[in-house]
Amino acid sequence: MTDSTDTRKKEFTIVRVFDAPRSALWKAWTDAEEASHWMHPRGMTTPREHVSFDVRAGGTYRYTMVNNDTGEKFPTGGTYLEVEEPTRLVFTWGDPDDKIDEAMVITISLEEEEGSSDRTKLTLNLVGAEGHPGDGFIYDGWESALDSFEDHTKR
Amino acid sequence: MAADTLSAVFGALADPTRRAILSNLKDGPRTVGELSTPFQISKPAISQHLKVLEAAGLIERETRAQWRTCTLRTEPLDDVSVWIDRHRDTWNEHFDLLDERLGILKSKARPEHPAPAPATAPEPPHSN
Repeated sequence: MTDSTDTRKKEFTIVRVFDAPRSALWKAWTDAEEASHWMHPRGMTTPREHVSFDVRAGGTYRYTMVNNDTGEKFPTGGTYLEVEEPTRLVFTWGDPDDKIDEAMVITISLEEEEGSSDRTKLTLNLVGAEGHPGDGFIYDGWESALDSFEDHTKR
Repeated sequence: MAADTLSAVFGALADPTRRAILSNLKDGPRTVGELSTPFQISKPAISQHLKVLEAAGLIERETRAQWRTCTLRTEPLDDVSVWIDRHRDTWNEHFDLLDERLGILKSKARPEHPAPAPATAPEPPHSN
């Protein structure tokens, strides 16, 4: 069994249009109170007291999601790389203790929809950190177990 | 592979629930919650099974910001697709919640709704 060489990058883009003015979208991303309402999966909460945003290039942010059932906490955070209100926000995202070059990078672009200042197009681009093959998803354990088992049975 | 490691693998595979977990993981990474649902077994009991599987080197558990996932590969899988789907789903879910939140804010601002709470001091631009 060999690792397949995948030349695609760990990267994707989402484009969505929201029924809200651009200023509301910018606030959603940069205001601690607003962010706590949506920066979490369903079934989790982001308590306001655990959110801190220092929105400037080089500033850091942090928030903690709490599983509603188990109470388990998931701290998340990163560093702002570019801040251009109200059109562009670039930041690292992941474990707050990750070094900058270990974390994913998210770029948010906000554009007013043509002909409507009450609708905003949001583009999110996420780039994964360069890692070695199997980074984060380690299949090697199973692979090497099977390889060793195969070797063992051949003897 | 050392004999005791081989025993660990055989021991791990000897339990039908653990074999079912491995089968489940063939379709892609799963959170602990997702793994426990089909078996009607408590999460602590599933965690016990996962410890055995992990000790045998048959699964890997990852703790990222939002979840813990267990992953397995029995054949070459497309690592990148799995990664992309997982993170894209996360952000699409965030955006669904954002959409709901923006809708609430909008309805609060409509004139026919009762007046909002008395005006408070303006929010600072940066919140810490």
